Amino acid sequence: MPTKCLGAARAGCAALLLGLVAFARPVLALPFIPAGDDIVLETLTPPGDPALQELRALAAAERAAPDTLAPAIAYARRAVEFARRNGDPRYAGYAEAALRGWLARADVPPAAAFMDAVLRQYRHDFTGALGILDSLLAARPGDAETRLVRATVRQVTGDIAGAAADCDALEGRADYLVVAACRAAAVEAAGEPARAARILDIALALPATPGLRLWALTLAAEQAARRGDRAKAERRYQEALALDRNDLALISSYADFLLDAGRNRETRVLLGSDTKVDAILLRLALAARAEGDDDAADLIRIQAERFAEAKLRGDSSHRREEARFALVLQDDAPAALALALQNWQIQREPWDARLVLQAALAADRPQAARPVCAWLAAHGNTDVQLARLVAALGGGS
Amino acid sequence: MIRGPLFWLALILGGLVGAVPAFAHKSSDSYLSIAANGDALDVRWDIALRDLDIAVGLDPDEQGQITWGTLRRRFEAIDAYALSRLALTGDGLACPAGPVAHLVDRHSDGAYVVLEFTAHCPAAPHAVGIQYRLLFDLDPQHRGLVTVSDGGSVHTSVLGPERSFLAVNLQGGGTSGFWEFVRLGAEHILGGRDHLLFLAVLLLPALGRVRPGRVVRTLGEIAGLMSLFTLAHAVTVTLAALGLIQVPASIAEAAIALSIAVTAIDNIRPILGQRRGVIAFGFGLIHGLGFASALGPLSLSVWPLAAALIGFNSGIELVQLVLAVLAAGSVLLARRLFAAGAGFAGADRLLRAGSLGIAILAGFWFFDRSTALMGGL
Repeated sequence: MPTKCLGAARAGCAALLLGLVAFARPVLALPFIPAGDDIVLETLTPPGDPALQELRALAAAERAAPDTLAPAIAYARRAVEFARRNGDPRYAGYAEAALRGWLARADVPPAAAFMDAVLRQYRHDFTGALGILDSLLAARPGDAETRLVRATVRQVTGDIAGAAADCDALEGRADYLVVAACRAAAVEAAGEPARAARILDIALALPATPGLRLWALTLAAEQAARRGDRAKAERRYQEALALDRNDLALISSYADFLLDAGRNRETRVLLGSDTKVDAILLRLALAARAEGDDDAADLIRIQAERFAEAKLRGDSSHRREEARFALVLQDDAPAALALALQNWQIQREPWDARLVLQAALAADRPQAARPVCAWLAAHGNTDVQLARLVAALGGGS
Repeated sequence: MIRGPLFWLALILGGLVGAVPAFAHKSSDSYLSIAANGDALDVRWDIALRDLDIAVGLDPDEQGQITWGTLRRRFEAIDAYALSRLALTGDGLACPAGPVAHLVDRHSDGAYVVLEFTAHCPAAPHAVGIQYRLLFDLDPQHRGLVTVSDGGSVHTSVLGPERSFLAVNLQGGGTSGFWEFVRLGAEHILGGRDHLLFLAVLLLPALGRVRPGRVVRTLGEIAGLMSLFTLAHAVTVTLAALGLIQVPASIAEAAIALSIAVTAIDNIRPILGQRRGVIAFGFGLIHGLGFASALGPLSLSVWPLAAALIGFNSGIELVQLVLAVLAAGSVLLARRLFAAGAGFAGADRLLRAGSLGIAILAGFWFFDRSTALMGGL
């Protein structure tokens, strides 16, 4: 009897291994020789793009004066900005290369350290970014830009009180709209959405640069949507889109708003077809799936490959998006819950909370969402969607 | 002066608060795959066209696109650039690259040029060295995803500016990768005091019952328990190797300590019921987590992965069986030496005393690890 048991256990072990191994990763596709010289293999940013031309000029200036700090900082700033706006992390890498020599010095210039913090924030190394920002502010407490970036990182990581303190310290040191937007975000997260809306409304009535205005409008639209005021959110999004239809943060945010409203057709029109940008690809797949479009399966497959390739590289900074993908597009609630909980340890914005709650609900594990429910209760949640989810989970008790 | 800082502020802000910044295009990677074949290294290297455009320029006419024609005109420049940033060695001696064939492949994020060539080493190497410096000067976030295979074993690595050199020992045989993993499995069980201690508490009661006349039966009982433990252990390790689960090491370690303490207490005062097999399996899952947390997903293709997992778990099982036979043998020997006298009461007392000691030790570990866990949260 025991020997039989042993044999059975071994057979079971082998069967299980082989069964699981059958699901292992896909292999590379077959390479080919294109049929003709005029076949287009890759489309680049148009060389005439003004932002790209400016970036090239800055790069040339940096190369011409490698021992001068100012051109390196100027190029790095513009490269990060380009990476953000276009959703292309390669340019953040180019910025890092321009800073490398300066960061290797015994006494790193504060401007280079600041850009290092911005790049770390970009790569979701929030702890590393905060360490640099803290020491920069200890030396120069009046530096508005550094304080603003720290406020943002604190907000993302859930340090609401810290973010609010940084926003207050910006008073009189930065543009009025910057201070107002910073404060509105902290005030909303602390449970006072009506006051947050008032602060932003007043500030947005004053003149400001288009870039700053677009950012504040996006923020106002998101806050309105969280309060459940869809009409006002729509109005704010349209105002922002009138300023720039290509800002990635704006169109991603508006796409999420449309998806929540079931306006899948409009989502697809808004996003176009640039599937190279992951933020667009994911939302296109969500819209296609919700609408039952023919290309839904293809979009989902490409996104899955993209995640698999990021994993090969050892990159785990996109757990928020991965959780959303697993939950909605792969119907794998347990996996989504695990990812969402890991992400919650790093990021604590409304979307991060929402994914934990949705995944816990779908996986029928309400107790797993408890830390998030408690956090929301402690910070006075006013997000209508989150409140509905918390209620569905049994009040988080 | 007045506009400067605020203007930049606005630009930085635009990206900072949006939810998407880093989730955009995939970062820059190249895929370098090397198959060792005698003194020849067969190389396939996929490099993104977008990266090569920055490095050597693939759009000289500023068309905003790269065609097969423009790419072909730049082959020479591409080869010169790429090959000057990759050095392959066999046992420390250079393996120069032969003629390069150029193809195209599509990855999920766009088109890549595929360079195929054979590098010839002076002799069939025992170890291959790869020095990789592609693009690091332009983009420190670039990574080289390297796969080295030699028939049986496959080695994968990620190379970056901080770690740009990789040395891989070639095994030469078709199944050598398998035995390597058997050895790893054996080392894993022998090197882990957690596992040995757990097995000890799990098997103590059965070992106590060993006496001439029922050796085979007891050994069978012990082997069955251990196989259940290995099976469960294999389940979690496999899930981790496939990247399906990921458990923080701190949690797994604390759970393992708790499982040892609980089983030890059960030896003194039964609290887990009579099903020893269920305990072996259930706690086997937990012990597998301990290794799973260190393992993470193995980037291997199907068969090397199967060989690795089967080898690893066989190594564990093998060592356990040897240890069980040795333990049963020593118990038998002890009985013969000290004969009669001691009897059941003595064995029972030994079981209780040993279990109590282990329970206290494991309880201390649990306390230690879980407070570390709380501190870390």
